[in-house]
Amino acid sequence: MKNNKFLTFCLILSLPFTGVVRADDTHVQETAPEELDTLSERQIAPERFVDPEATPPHEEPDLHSEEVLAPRHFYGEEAPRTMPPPAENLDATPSDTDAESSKLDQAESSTDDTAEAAPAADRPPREVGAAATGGFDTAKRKQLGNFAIAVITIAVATTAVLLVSKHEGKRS
Amino acid sequence: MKTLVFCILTLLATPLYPSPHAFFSPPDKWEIANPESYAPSVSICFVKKGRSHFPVSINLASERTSASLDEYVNAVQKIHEQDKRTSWKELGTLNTRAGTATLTQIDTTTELGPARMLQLLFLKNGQAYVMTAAALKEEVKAHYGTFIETFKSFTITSNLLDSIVNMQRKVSLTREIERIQSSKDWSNKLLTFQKRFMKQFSDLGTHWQLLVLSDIREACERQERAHEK
Repeated sequence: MKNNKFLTFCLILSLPFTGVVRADDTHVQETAPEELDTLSERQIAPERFVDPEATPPHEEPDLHSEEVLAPRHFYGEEAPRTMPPPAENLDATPSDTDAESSKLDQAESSTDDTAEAAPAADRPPREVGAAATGGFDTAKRKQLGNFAIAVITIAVATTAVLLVSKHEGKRS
Repeated sequence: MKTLVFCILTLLATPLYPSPHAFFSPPDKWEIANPESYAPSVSICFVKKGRSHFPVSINLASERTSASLDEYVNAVQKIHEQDKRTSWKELGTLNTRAGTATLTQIDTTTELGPARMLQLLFLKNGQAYVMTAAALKEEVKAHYGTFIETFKSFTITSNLLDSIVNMQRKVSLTREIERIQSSKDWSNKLLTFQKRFMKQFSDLGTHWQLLVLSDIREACERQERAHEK
């Protein structure tokens, strides 16, 4: 009885090496490259591009990784078909389907975004810098001084009133 | 007895104006530029007396922002670098009375020749403060010291009267302000007070004085509106 159990245990252990069962048999990356060549794009995994949610998480192509975009970035548009290893080739191969190309475009733009700066949510609003440009523009005005000299020598109060009214105008 | 007097004086000098105020001490004998020529974000601008065609000036601008200081500096850099006639450079940090700020330099061309500006960028509580000092490039060396000293005097306070070091002086001013505010004829009283105040507190700088005056005026008007209702 004990021997039977031991044999069963040994059999289970040896299964991955016999070719009957492979631990990661379902993983697309483990598919032989020559097999892939015989399959059309749609046969490989159309759902991977059309409906990414339908595929298991471990199979989802990592479109944000640098590897995926490396051919476009480093070798140009024509180069990559034969250069990367099979798994990378699978992810990076240009496709005729709109869904795929749009996905790649999306991936490219998102990768560029993350490479350039912080995420969009953390970015300062577009109008940042109004005070700096306001200060710069005011300093460039050549008529700034003359009027002041005239006004101030007459009365400081006049300027104070002007400033107060300007201040109030801003608040309202 | 002394403690009691001190406590009463301290109570009297409690903040009258809780909203934050940003100000700086302009250089001696510089004058306020015409407020009508300011850009919308600029609250005050001082110019050096003289007949120079390009006015040597220092102004203070501010705006609300959700950006950090680094983000703000980067945004300003991008804005200035868009203009090919302008070059921008970050010079480093500068300690002001309000805290550590970033000092930058802008070289630009104007109708009157090449000009150089030093711009101080400071952020606090979602508010960006920008001080800009400008002069013609050929004259700017003579003004560097003045510009830096003025930048260093930049202060942010919730109570303007805290800038008065002398307690007795602070208390007497507080009492006077209260008297004006409680008077029905506050407008006339403010006018007479204003002249005296500009002379007596000139050591604190024109910018500070103008903020105090505008705050008194605002408080009086607010009170008047409340009474009318």
